[in-house]
Amino acid sequence: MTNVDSNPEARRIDDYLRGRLSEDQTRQFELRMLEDDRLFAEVQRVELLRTGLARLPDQLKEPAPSAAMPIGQREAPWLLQWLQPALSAVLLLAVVALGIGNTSLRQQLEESQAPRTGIPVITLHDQRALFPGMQGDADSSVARDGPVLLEIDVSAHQEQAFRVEIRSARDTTIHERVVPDARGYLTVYLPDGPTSVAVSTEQGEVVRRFGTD
Amino acid sequence: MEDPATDVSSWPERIASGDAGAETELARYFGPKIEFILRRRLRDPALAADLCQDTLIVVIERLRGKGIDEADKLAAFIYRTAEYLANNRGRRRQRRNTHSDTSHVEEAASKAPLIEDLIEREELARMVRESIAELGQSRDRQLLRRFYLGDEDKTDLCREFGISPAHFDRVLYRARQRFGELLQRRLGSDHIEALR
Repeated sequence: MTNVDSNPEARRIDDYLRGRLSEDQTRQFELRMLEDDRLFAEVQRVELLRTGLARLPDQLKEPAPSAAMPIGQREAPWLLQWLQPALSAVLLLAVVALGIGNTSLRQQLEESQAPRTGIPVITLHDQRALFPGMQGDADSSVARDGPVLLEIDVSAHQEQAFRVEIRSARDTTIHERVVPDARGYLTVYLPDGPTSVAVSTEQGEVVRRFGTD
Repeated sequence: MEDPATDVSSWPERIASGDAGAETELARYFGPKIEFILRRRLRDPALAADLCQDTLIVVIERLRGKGIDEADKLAAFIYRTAEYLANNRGRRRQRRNTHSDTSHVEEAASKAPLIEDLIEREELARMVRESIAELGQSRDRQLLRRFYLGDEDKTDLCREFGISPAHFDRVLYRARQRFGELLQRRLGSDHIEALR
């Protein structure tokens, strides 16, 4: 090996570790790794280098603390000395506010498990209100303010992956092989405006349907 | 390719005939690889380790009983099993505690850890720091970090830094080589062959 990165194998390893391979390419690569000790070792080595690099920047950029002065005796900047009690007070207020919040434990749990995307997430709890036909009646169109993420419970079904069809006034989007998360939920993005969603197995059997079709 | 001494294709037949030694060999050979793949996919090392053990046990129980159709495709069978269990991990609780006589498999898998589990956090940072320090130029160190951590394209980086693709390749190569040497020195003779 004279130059690792002009070598297609090295490029493949980088692409794999950087998540640049397609799903099918990833499977082929991983299968090859199972059968090839040398490839597996090289992949581990590059992954370890990446992990180590990720831990370095702060240590490299920040000057090392002065060894002459113990940590507890280091002089804080005057602004920090002033800010510290103020921040503590704000933190205390936040804790009190959280403690008296009336959100139920169930809602908190669902919210904590929801993806953080910056747009609303419709959980199972909210679906029942927003989609009266969620058990399969398909009798309501969906009126919302802006796009949302919809979590769909498919835990009762045995399939590994599902097909999700999202139909809006403008177009129809189909997602193939959507894999449920650890809770057995699919999370899909719904654009603004009336939308319908159909979840089906890969054999074409519709298992969930929301909104007017 | 695999070590010539590792006769993977013989394991199905040996396991079918009750050879516990073959089960241990299979677990030690495939265990770390499956765990690595699951760890990347699930981003949960503890869950990945558990599912890896489940995978090995399911595979071995299958080989003890019905067997597989194509012994030469054992790796593919193991991969599919791991993938299936990962995709159905929500139902894992029901699957546990149904295995018998597999403690040697779990023990063998746990004795073949991933390389990253052998290196302490501070030690890894030191080795990486040493590897990139030898690159000399600050520009090369930035290149390395932005390629691996910033997920930036080689072409874009070459253009921005005003370097040729060949120079880019050399930077990555030298960093990897130096890091590999430090790793070999740290891990000792057991891993030298695999890491060469």
